[in-house]
Amino acid sequence: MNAKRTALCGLLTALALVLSLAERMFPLSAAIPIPGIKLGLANVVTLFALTRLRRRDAAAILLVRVTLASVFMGSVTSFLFALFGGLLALAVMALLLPLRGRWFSLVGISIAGAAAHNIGQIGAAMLVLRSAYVAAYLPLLLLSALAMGLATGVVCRTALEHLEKISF
Amino acid sequence: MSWLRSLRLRPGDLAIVALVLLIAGGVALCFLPRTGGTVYAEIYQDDVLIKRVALADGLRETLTIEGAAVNEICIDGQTVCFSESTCPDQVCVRSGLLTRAGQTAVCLPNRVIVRLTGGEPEVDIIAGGAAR
Repeated sequence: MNAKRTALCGLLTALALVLSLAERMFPLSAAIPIPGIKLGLANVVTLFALTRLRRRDAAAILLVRVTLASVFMGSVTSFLFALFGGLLALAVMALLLPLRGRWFSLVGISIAGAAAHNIGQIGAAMLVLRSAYVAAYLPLLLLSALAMGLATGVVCRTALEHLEKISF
Repeated sequence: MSWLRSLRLRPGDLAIVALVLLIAGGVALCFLPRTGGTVYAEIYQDDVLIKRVALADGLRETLTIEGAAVNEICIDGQTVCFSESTCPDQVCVRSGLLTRAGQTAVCLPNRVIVRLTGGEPEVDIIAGGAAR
């Protein structure tokens, strides 16, 4: 069981990293001119890890993914933004997941996570730039979080349903 | 709307969406007035501009304008109002506080118009690409 968990952690980390790289090929910030806007595909992995693994495994996957992604293609500031956003998203989703089923669906939890990611990201930007004006970007980022959270939530649920069929 | 049903949303999901929209709206409201730029108070009598003041926080000024009646106009920070008037109808005083560009208050007996106009929008509020 332990070996299976370790293997799954590694697999998910690699998948999250590939998703981070792949979403670079969709220059969403060129279409919508807001700095920091992105698809947030790696959120699928965080949510999946939270449902199938322990919280600390999900946190470890997140930390390794964010660190490696910024080593490969980011800067120190983008590392900070991604780290703050990622940790806040993880915390919110971990908090809501026990209430899944009766109160929340995976899609709703995913939307909450995407929104939390944006809030954390803007919070980090406000700290780094020492300016409150960065928060002016937040409303549009949150609207995009609704759409992207919905998409990642549906993807994650579909993946989970298929895995349950083969009793993974 | 079958795609919406296929999402199998729970009641809490709608609460999450509402909360996200609420935060987005609230933050947007906080930043809207800042992008409006400087507002000017213009005071006309007999269609002649007799005073133009750029409104700013902390500004306090009282003007007395004499004609067929006597108006007292009070400029306080970002707001302007007719504080007192000797005219019979008192429409000007009851117009209350002017706070936004585009608002107008008039004292017909004294032929006085107070108008708020927006100046050039301030460009340096959201400097481009700040969050890179």
